Amino acid sequence: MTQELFNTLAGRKVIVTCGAGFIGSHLCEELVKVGADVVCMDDLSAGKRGNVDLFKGRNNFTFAHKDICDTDEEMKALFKGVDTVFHNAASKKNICLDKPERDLEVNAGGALNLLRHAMDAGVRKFVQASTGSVYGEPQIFPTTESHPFEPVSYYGVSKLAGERYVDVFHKLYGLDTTILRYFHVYGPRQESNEFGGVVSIFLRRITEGKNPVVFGHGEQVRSFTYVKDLVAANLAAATNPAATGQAYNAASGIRVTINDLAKGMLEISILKAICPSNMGTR
Amino acid sequence: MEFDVSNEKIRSELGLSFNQDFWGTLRSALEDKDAFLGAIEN
Repeated sequence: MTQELFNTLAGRKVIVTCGAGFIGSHLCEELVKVGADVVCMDDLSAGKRGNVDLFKGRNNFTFAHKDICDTDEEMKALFKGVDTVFHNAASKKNICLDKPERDLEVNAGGALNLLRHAMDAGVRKFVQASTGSVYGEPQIFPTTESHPFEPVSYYGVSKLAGERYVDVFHKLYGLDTTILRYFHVYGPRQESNEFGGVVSIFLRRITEGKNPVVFGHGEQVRSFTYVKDLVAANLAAATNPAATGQAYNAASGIRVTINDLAKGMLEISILKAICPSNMGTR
Repeated sequence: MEFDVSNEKIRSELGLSFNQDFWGTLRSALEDKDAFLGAIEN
């Protein structure tokens, strides 16, 4: 049934923001596969052309080099005839805390800009990628969608503002929206610089012959979620009527400590000869 | 910061399932480490 729903996107024009990014490129890949007419919108500030090069030559894939904050005529034209927007673009400079204003500009202002364009163009569905960071330091376990919003980062605050704009467009204008809160996503094409996830950062160090660096006691628990599961969540959000106006935790529910991750990744890497066999865990 | 996240709502309302074999998936994904880390090079 789920795959049948996904197939209903065949022939429909969709926009994927940050489509050349880690998660966006996987989403583009599946949308191309189900036959959607995919517009991959990306300013390449984080996304990489190499992530979507495999779609070159496909007649249902177009790359648009655009910033989601753009308000020009070209942006307007891109939205013409669009059925669904998958808004995955985000600024995540919270780690170095050097550009919180860019977080706000992109994560709140960019979402607002896309919502306006979507309304003007008569878009059917708007799927907003959000983050578990909107909950801040979780106080209630397991953490459900009704957990209070108490973000403790610039990123979390700006993404929460984006969510609120999405809610406003749903409630005021009846736009069909769904919010997906991502948690600890991992998989191929993830950035392994300081803005990437811990899995890819550890792998990068291991390939360089260095041990993973564990901060603190290492017993912090993470709910690692495979990128392909998020793709399915996006497609389900876009095609299942039950998702209208809803927000969901898009998380695997798996619980892995950072210590176990470091140890397990070293073991896998030794087995696969990614790193020297004499490397230790600490 | 601890995470114990409920995905009950998305599973029950949208009929989704999430891969629970973290280590198996990771092992498979690392079959091609260059693809895994590709984003930084290109």
